[in-house]
Amino acid sequence: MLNAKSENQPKSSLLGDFLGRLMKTAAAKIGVVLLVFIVLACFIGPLLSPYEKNSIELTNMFARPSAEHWFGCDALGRDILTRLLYGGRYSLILGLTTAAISSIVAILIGCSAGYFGGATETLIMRFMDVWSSLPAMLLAIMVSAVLGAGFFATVFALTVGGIAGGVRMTRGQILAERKKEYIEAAESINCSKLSIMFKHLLPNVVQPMIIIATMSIGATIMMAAGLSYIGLGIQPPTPEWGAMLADGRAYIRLYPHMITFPGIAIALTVLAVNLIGDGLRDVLDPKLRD
Amino acid sequence: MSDAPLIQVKNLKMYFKVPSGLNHAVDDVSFTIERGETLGVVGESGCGKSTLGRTIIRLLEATDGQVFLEGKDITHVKGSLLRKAREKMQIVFQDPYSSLNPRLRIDQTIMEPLHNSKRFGSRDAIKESANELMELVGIDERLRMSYPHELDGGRRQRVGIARALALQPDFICCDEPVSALDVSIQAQVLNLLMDLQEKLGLAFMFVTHDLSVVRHLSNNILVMYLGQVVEKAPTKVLFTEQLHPYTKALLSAIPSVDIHTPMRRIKLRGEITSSINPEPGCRFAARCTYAKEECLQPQELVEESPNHFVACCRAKQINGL
Amino acid sequence: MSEEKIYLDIKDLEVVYSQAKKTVRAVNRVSLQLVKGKTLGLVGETGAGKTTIAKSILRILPNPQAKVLGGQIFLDGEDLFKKSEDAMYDVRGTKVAMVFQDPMTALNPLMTVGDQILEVLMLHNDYNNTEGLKKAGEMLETVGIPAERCSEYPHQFSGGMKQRVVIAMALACNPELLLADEPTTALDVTIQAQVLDLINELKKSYNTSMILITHDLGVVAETCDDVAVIYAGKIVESGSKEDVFDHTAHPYTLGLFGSLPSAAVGEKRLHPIGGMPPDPTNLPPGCAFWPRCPYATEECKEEIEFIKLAPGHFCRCIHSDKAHKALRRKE
Repeated sequence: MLNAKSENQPKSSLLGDFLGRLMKTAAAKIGVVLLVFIVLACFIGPLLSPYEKNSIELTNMFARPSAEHWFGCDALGRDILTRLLYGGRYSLILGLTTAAISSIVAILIGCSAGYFGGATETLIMRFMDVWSSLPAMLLAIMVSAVLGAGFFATVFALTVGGIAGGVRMTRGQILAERKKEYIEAAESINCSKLSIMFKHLLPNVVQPMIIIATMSIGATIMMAAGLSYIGLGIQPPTPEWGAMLADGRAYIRLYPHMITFPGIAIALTVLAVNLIGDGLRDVLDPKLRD
Repeated sequence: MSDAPLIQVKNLKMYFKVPSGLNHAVDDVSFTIERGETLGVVGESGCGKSTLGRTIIRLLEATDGQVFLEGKDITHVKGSLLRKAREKMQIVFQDPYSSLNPRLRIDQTIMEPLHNSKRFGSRDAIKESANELMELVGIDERLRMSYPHELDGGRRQRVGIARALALQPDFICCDEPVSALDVSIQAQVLNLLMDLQEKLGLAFMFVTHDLSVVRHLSNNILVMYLGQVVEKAPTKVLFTEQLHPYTKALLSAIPSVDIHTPMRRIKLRGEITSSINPEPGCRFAARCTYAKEECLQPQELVEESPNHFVACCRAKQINGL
Repeated sequence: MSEEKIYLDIKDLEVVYSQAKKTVRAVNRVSLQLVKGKTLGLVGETGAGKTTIAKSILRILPNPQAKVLGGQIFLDGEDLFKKSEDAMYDVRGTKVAMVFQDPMTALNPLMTVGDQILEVLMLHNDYNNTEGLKKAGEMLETVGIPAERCSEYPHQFSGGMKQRVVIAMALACNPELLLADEPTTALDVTIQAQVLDLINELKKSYNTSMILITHDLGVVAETCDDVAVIYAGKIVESGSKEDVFDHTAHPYTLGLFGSLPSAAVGEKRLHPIGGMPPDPTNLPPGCAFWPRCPYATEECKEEIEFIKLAPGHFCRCIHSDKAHKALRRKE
């Protein structure tokens, strides 16, 4: 009997496979490039700027964009571009931190609800029902008003808003996954309940959460901007995009450059993050594969 | 007690609450399995064979009745007693695609029970054991670090078998282990199971709807219909002298590859109903051509000949005994 | 196959699927003939190309993943590939109908069963609503379901009854050719027996020609007149049922029969076909079965043509005589 040539089996890890496929989608490519550019600009850019973020130069009040001040100056003569780049750091870190904390908390709560079931599940889900009856922005405003200004208070306020949706989604995923045979198998080989939840269930339901978390970064940045706009959240003189928008509000007719550039910055960042989220969705949704 | 059978099931009942009432998934089932034996459990949708298997190995807790492992009652044990019992009873699942965690490599899947058990030594010893197991079930060395999605159904099923063997059980419940595989691969996996049984002295409960497979592998066969046992007999006897009308219909329904012997098919009326809120009496009566008034009474499993049990009050008349 | 009228004639059909960078050669120059009124069993395992052939006849292959690279399909003398999409519209349902494998997903859960049969009827006939519904009820009766159940939804039927509804839909317009793709695989054995009997009866009363796709040789034995065995997109053996069952020639077909538990009665171990099914993106050269074949030689790596063993019985193997001798010795 003739022997066939041995087949070459590729040993791809799921992560490597996943990243490879992600970068093939047009959306992800554009999103990643854009985001990398924004991140580099915000973290390295300020070091290259000849201006300080808070240095007031009253001679330059409302200066329009010029060769010296590419994006012009604000009401106190501060260089808008420099403040924009510094401000980007806050927005990006806010967005990322909030999305991360919010997702982790949502996943843990959702997992517990889905896996343990019974009274635990009912309690958690009814609580979430109440929670989600309040609009996220209102919740954020409430918490922010109570806790006052500052970075961590703002993160907390923003996190609180977005949890309910994540919990519901995770629980739904867990309910579906829990019935699969590999979970029964894990029980039959004496895995502890915690081990089943963290080693078997969680990794297999985390994918949709990643998409939601990514998409929520954009919404978070906008909510943070919203909070600053109404005087909560990050306070002056900290340059935050929303606060800069608020500052420019009164001068929209005379000195539009004061809101145009912060506005564009917010829009581009949210776009980049959403494009990456789109790419993630294309890759993680099995129905769209091949 | 060394002369107690390996597995003994007494009047086992497994009922589930459903929106419309109570599902009598497994209703008063009794049998024994000795070491090294295979019990085939056959039946169609809703007969409860899969539920039965899971109740015995304690993935489910019985509503009523008892399960004995080596003479000890394990029906409601918990904690470390349950863990000890589980190590002696393992399961191979039907679907090779959903019975492996897609995020773990197959060697990790096989090592997991060994880690859980704590009696298999150091990490290195465990790795060694996993390798031996993969060797035993015939997985090529170059594939031992693969992920499930890189392997075909037959190989995945071998991984499932290796995992079931890891804890060195005495009993394995095989729940339709080859139904999801291609025909040419089924025979390979069945041979593997038989070889392992001989080598390791395993007892099997082989749950399937495929009668030709079960005929080949089993010592005894249990025929189930909507949760009840309708006939129980040694394999040869069941195939040559079936007594229950359902068993007869089931056997005659199998399409035969012998094109020259005409099929004497027993036609059944109607559809398979359900085991939810069942009426007392024989659940097959609605479809049975021999049904009479007495069939509405609860049926007993009667030993019509040595080791041959039937749950049919009309068995004698139907078969001219 | 005898000299009766050839209803379906497939010549050198070649279909590929493009998947990312890989090409799956699903159907590799397949030629088949179906005599009017007869049933052809198309036997093969997963990925052999059986469903692709059926979908090619109906021209419902997924576009753009699937491409027909060559070949012709003649239905009652007409070249199906030369027809426009509008013309194919008239063919589907009226001349050719298909019953798919999974009755659970073949029916629309949001429409009543009667409406679904009605939809098929109205697409190809000029009934008004009342006439149509009456005809739908009649179709249900033909498949053994009371006509009153027209107003029920699919979830109210069991698996076997759903499959009967699907058959009723397929036969609603009295097609000349029925393509049944594993119609009973998902059903319980006693229900399978009922559905196969039903198919046989309907076939006789409507004189429908049929292609029955299956992997189950028992089902073929009960329902088919002629058989074609397909492996890796190529027909490896074809002939009448008696030819293929009693005078099995190709090593793969022999392997299929041999791996059945009924072939090992009295013995301990079964006799599987060794090795693994081929990778459709990377088929072995020549006869795709040679890596698993106990009789393979170097010549098997070349393209093998059909060899005529007897009138109507063809085999794509140069060693079928060796294989046959080995079988005799075993008996």
